[in-house]
Amino acid sequence: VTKPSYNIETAPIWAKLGVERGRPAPATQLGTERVAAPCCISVVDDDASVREATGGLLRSLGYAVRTFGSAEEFLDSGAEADTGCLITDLSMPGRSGFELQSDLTSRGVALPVIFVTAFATDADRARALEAGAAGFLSKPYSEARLAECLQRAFPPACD
Amino acid sequence: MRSRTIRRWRALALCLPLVLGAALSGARAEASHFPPTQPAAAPETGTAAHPGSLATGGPSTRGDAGAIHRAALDRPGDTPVASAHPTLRGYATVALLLLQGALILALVLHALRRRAAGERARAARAQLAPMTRRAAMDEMTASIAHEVNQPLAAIVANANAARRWLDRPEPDLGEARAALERIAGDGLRAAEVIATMRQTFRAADGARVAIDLADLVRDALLLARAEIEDNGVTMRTRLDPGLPPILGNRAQLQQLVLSLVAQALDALQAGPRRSRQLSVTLARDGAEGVALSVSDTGPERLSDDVPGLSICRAIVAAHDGTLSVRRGSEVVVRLPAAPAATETSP
Repeated sequence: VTKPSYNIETAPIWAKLGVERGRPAPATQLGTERVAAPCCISVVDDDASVREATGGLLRSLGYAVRTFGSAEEFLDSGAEADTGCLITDLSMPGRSGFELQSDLTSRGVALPVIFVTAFATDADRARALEAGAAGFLSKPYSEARLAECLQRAFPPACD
Repeated sequence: MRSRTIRRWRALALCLPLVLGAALSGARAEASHFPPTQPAAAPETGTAAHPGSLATGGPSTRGDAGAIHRAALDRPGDTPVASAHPTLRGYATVALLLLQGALILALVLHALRRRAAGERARAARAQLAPMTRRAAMDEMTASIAHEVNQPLAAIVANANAARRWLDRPEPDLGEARAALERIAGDGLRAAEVIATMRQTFRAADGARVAIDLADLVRDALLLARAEIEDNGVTMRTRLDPGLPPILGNRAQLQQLVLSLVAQALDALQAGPRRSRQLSVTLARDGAEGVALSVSDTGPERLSDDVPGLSICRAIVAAHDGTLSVRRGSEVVVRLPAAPAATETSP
């Protein structure tokens, strides 16, 4: 059995603080002055079980997570303010992952984005990289691949 | 629009003999009054019809034409009007003959060109058939992959999460349990996707007939022959005779065979060109079944890597059979024989 390259020991400090010490994670502190760095991960996926599972995995890794069922839901929530990294599905009813990213860009929000898709094509992969994605994961993905992307994506302020 | 023009011309070409016949019979009726030198009068009418050429022609030309004209007019017993009329008619006949000849030639050429174009189109279609088949399969594979990958992604993420919760200094059993419960649910959901797919296949198959698999495999290999030869692949087939018929959908089973062959060819393309070998065998499997094996000398691959294998599995499952991958380069499909009472359909 190979040891996963990512574990709680190497997880960002803020995450360990939030979870390990039993304090509420940054996402639940919205509106309070204690949230300085946008260190929450937002997960956007129209598939409820994938959304729940991804959120669960990220929480088990010590991250603060918010989940959204659609691009519109995320955009309307104003969660981008405290989001340090966005993990979004590519094909969703309504606005796609790509459209979500360009919406954010046009709002002047520069978020590291990790695209996730259940059917990866070379064209989508190339487009994602061209759009400056922090990662492109094809479902199902290993924890190691996710960790790799997160390490690349997460702002240093959260470490 | 173009073909309508052609049809019109063809009708005209067919009508021409009637016109021509009428003209000729008219000419023959006048023939008794016709001078034997009538063909010599040709230049006269010709020049008369083209005053321009008459003007540019030298005085000698004009003089000759005039002489011939006079000669024709001077024939005793022929009034000028009576002689000019049959001459015109003769020229009309010749012109019509030439016109008809030209028209027939044009139509023949057109028909030949059309036949050549048809053959080219047929060849192009034959070349295209495997490609469209591929495209359709790719599309289907994409939708299946999408449907199945969703619960798989959830399962993998939940499993990792459960492990993480348990690995903590103080294991969070509640979170781990929740993740495990989600795994169970996702597994059932994946199974549901497969079941729906299988049902779709069953619903689509309409008529299930008894099929001689050896015939079907032979036909399918014929279809794939060009692709096999183009890739420099040697094919070995062993199709045992007298195998029991199986009950199934002809189109789906043909797609299965073609897909397995296509996957083998894809694998062979990855290896060296000189030792490309594809082997297809069909033999009895136990007491009541048939086993189809498609193997190649290409590099081994994981069954998950092969697009199109999931669709093969679905087809085989819809026929109550099993599909297994051996040594990464051989696929064995086992299908149950049809109940003894059924006859092989033609």
